[in-house]
Amino acid sequence: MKTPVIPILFLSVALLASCDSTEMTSPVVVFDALTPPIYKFKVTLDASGSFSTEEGDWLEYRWDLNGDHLAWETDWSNNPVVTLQFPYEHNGYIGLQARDQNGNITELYQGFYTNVNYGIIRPNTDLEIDFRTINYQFSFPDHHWSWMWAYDNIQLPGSAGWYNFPASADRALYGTLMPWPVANNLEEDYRLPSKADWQKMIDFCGGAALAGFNLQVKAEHGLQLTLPGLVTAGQLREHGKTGYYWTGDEADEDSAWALKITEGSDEAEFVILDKSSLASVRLMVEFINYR
Amino acid sequence: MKKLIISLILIAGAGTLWSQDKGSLTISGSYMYMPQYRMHGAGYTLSLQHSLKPWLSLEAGGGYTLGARTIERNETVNDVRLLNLNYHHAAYSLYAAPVLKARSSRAVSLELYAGPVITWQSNVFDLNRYEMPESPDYIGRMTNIVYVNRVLEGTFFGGIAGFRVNLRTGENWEVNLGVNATGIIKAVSSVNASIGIRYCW
Repeated sequence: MKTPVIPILFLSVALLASCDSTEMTSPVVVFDALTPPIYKFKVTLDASGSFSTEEGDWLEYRWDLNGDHLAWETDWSNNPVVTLQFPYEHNGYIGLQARDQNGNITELYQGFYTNVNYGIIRPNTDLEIDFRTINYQFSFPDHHWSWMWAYDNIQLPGSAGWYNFPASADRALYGTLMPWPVANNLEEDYRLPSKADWQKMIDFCGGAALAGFNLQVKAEHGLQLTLPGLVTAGQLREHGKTGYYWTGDEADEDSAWALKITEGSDEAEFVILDKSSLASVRLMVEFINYR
Repeated sequence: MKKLIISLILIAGAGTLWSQDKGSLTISGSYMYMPQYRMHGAGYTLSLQHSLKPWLSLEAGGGYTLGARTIERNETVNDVRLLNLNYHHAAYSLYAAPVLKARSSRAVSLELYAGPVITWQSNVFDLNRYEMPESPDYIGRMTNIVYVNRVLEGTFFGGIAGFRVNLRTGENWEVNLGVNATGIIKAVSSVNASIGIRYCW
């Protein structure tokens, strides 16, 4: 009789279906910005804290950098780090998907806020040609910090002791290239920023790896450093390609440190220049008011 | 709509079987285990049987099952707190099956049955649930909990096969103990142990 075969067959099929195992996990996804994001500044997002809960597994990532939920701005990549120009003036979402090797995906969207509190003023100074300042304000539980930087490259009247660009538009844009001794004694109330002062600004602008870009960004809240170049041995060099900005720190008797930024490079670096070289100048001052 | 169709089929099948002579009605409760996802649960089944021959009957039934599983984690990795995971399962099922009967005495009989199943299932599987570390001020989150799940829901087909032992307890009454396996293609399969009571006429 063939009938008893039927239940045995069904039983076998049923048991077989029951024993098919399935991976039931998805990655743990976390990401953060390496520095506080600022509108139009480059910022690095880091998802390297993400991991798979499966041993020996590894993840791939893709980003929705404009938070529109419509398309992914990056392809799948093994690199958990991405650098972007922060697209939001005030706040917005950025999304990340991570995929494990079984194809399971975890998606995370986070809101990012940016709030640079600043004002641009034209203060009274000792200089014949005024400059504007940008006044950044930071509030902490126990004190208030006003951080004022020249918003324009310092411009001096014509003189044989420094270099002024022939065209007035260039003079307004690039300021005056001057030797370190002149730069270091320009103004009573504002000082030539030290390396430490510049380093704080570099940190504010995303760190040394991104500050070269962010210091040049054409955004109202940025310093908008220009690339006048450098005058050495009476010759203007690297005009439009680099910018050298004096620091208040001497390297030795004949040379001093300067900040160097370069066209097309995200990096900012400190270099040593002969004090007789003619470089650009921004001045700054800061006030800390304890509550 | 699918539930309505299933209900109509159930009513039509039950009516047909009820109209025949020599039948039985069984209600049973079951413990259920789903090995693929290691969920446990319980359910009930209502079935009608019509005897064609002393050793052969036709059976149609339907039931409802609920299952769940909790995966305890409660560990912290890279400052991320991994929270418990939960699986949930609910299903309505209909089946029809020929039943082979073997009777050792008037009091005890053994039944083997196997047949097709149609089921509507709703399954929710947590793939991950974790709590992220506190975020800096420039990141805004509604919650620090990230929840990822997979929902498997719809009508699926499969087969059921099993056996039950019937113990006669009265002129028209039997109690039965049974075991069956339900294999569902592309959804959740299960094995079941059941106890039921049957009215025969």
